[in-house]
Amino acid sequence: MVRSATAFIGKSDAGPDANTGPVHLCQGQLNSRQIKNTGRRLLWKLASIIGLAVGPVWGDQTGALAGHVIDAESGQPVGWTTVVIEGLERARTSDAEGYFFFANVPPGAHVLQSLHVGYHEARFKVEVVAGDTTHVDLAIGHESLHMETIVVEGEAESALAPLQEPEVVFSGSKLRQNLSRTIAETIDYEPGIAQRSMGPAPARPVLRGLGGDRLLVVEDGERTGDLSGTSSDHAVAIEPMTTERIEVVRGPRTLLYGSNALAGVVNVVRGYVPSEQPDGFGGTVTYQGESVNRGLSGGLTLEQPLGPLALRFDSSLRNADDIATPHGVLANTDIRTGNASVGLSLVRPWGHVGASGSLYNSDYGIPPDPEGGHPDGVSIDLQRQHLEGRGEILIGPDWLQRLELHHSFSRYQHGEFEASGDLGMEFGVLTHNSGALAHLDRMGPFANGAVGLWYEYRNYAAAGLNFTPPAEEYAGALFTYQEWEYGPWAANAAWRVDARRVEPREERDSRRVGSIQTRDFAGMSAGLSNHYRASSTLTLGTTLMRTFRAPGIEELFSEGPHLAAYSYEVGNGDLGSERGLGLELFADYHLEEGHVHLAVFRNAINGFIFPKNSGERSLRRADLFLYRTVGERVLMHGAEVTFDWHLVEPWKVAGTLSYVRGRLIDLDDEPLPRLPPLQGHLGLTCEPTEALSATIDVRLAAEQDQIGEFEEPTEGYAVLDLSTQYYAQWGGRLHTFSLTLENATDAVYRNHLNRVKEILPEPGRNLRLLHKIFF
Amino acid sequence: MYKRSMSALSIFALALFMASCGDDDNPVDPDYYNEHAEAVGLTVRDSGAEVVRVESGQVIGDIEVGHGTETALLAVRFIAEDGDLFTPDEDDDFSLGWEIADESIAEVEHHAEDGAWAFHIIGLEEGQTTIRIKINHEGHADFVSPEIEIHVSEDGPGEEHKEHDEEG
Repeated sequence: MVRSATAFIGKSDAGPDANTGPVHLCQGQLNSRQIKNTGRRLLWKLASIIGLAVGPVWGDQTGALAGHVIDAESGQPVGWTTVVIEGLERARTSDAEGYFFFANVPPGAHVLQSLHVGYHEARFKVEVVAGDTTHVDLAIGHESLHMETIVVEGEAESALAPLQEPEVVFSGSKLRQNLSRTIAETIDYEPGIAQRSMGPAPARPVLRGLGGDRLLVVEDGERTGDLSGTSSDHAVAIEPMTTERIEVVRGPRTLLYGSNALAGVVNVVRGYVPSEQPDGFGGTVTYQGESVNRGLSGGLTLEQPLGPLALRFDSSLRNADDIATPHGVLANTDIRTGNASVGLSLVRPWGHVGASGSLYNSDYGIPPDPEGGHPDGVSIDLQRQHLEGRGEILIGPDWLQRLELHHSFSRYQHGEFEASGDLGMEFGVLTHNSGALAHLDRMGPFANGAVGLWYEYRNYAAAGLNFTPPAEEYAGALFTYQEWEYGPWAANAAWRVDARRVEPREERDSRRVGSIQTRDFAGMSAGLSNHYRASSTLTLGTTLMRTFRAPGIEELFSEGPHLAAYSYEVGNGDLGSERGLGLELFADYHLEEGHVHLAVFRNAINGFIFPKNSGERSLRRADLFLYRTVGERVLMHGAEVTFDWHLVEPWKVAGTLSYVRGRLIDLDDEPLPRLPPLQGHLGLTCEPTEALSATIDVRLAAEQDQIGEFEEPTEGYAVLDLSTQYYAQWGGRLHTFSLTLENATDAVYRNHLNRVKEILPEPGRNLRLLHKIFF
Repeated sequence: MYKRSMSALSIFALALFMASCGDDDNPVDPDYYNEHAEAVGLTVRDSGAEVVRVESGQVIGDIEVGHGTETALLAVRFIAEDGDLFTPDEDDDFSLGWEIADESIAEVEHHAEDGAWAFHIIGLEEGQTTIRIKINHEGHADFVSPEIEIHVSEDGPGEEHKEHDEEG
């Protein structure tokens, strides 16, 4: 039986007595479950008092949000629930009794997201009033219940998804179930997402066939300073183990992050600089083991209040040997990674300001390719140091909701070593990033508006057998974003203008690269997305995107063998900028029993920049193929289907299907290389109790025979995965367990986006156990 | 308390800021390996006669040797982009490298007294294999030739193989 569960939202009285009078609880159905426990009342009241006490001066500029998470069916408190204020990047975990509190929340409408294993991820609209504490009961239901309804007291029920929310969020149980060696592997179950790889360590996500710089992978909203976007052997310098959540952003909102994210943005939220004052000492311990590579990893996050300061620390270690496949162990696929960060913030009613420092080191192998110039493989030693200052100001003129400021510096270096231990290539990048983002208050129908500035400086150098000149890049952008609703219509739009200068240290003419000289690029990008609620169950929409992408240093001026990529790369000093035009049509169908999402898209890109295999051997290094950077006209189209449906209690079925094709228009419609095949997955989940769930899932891919020049086709496959999740509260701590058997039948299958797929089948049967403790 | 907290945060932020500004040099020195042998081809000469030329990616000629014998001294010279012939200076850490596809058919013998850029091929078994000739430098190969064929036959040319104390 499908039962309805509802989120109840309370609104405080904003009258003159609101601060001193009794606490106002939610009305309506909440009355039947009003809190009777005096202790809880006192706690709630205490939270209110704290909320008022912290803002004696700026109390009329911000509000506070005190909440209680309860089970929609039993009314019992639900402890250890992560509550996120979407758009503010602020999250709290409810205590063992289900209470949580946010101080210094900008007034206005916000969306709360609740995340708890065994419960549906629900969203609640709340209204925060300046100088007051809003009290909220979040009644959440088990996953076997359908609970998408959002009820806001005094407002009509709305089925329109909040435009500001990311399209996909990996957090809580979903993140734990999928947590893998890399960010790309963690999120690759989502529709349209595939993994570009060259061994298990340097995997990077690809969305709708677009990767590299066209799918930005950012950390806390900012670029990582690594080189993962430039070559398939370069790893993303982010460890997933201690990640809070991963968001996939699409559409106009991507322009808040960059001008070139036609595919989207993967935002890995770590919260290096704390934005919340923790209630007390707390954190998480996570450890994971897997059989396919005898891998062990562990992570620790800690948070501690120090007066008005908030301290955050995290650390993780990962150690995995070579990967086992049904064809045997693959040499040189091991990985060793270490990561640590510390952040300190001053959290006050006017906002917060803080700084953090982090280190990330990774040693990983690229498997040997006898035909590719490296019969014994290549080992990569990668290091990144990252320093960041971040602040948020909640006071200001009426039109300003809040102002975010940040500056970060990262020092990145990686060396590529031959099997003999000799250093073959070395890359170094210094990156400074600065940004300011002003969030605007609601003005008429306009909401969640923002105006921002962004600046980046990159200093790039390569050494080894390499003729790429050292160079500097200066980039700046001005952008704005706006949302509005009108009746059944909702829309969001963004506009951005970018300028970039690429300045090589020496200017010269190169026979192969062309003219090596300072290049300037500028361009405009924009996006518009419309949602129309055709009925209470059906929403239709369109998204139109125009993107701009300037070529990078490597694409313009690189020359030399790239040992780990098995290629001799030659840039193109005459490249122009890349301009994309994307159109997407989508439909969302929601019923109590389930949800279906359909999308079709078409992307036309002028000057699509990519290294094209010339089929010729390099004159200098005849053991390597020559890859020349070209800018071609490309037309891509595709479709995606996502669905989840509750069959009968306690069973649920869910699946995805993705399709993308691309053609090089000026090259006789030659297929664009390295596109994923038709692929998807189909899963059946059983949830016999709120604490236990089990899923059987089949990953499916068709043969990929739409291949580029000098590319080999890849056979289709079906791979069976089994997983189960369980949680329990022992000794006042929440323990979550995730046990997954990947590739249960030990099938041999290959990833078409793996540059060395011929020698590197995907991993064989893998048993993975993850245990996470919240304290 | 507030003052102490502000002081702690200031010191922390200042430390990070100084760490950020104090090392603004790229960790990689692009000039460290800037001496490269810029070869795009080569010639192999047997007693003064050119037996192999690699130019514009094309291989003209091959190396022939009799079973159980060794070739005469084969001298390698490299072709620069402007067409000049040169041999890199071994004092600058350049050295001759090679890679034979099937070492059961032929192997290289390299003697210091013959010079850095000359070698013999020994025919071990009748058959055909290939060799790539390299310029090694600072742990990587500045130049790798295309595959050059080696033919080992019963009646191929060669001299009686002499054992040397110093082999490459």
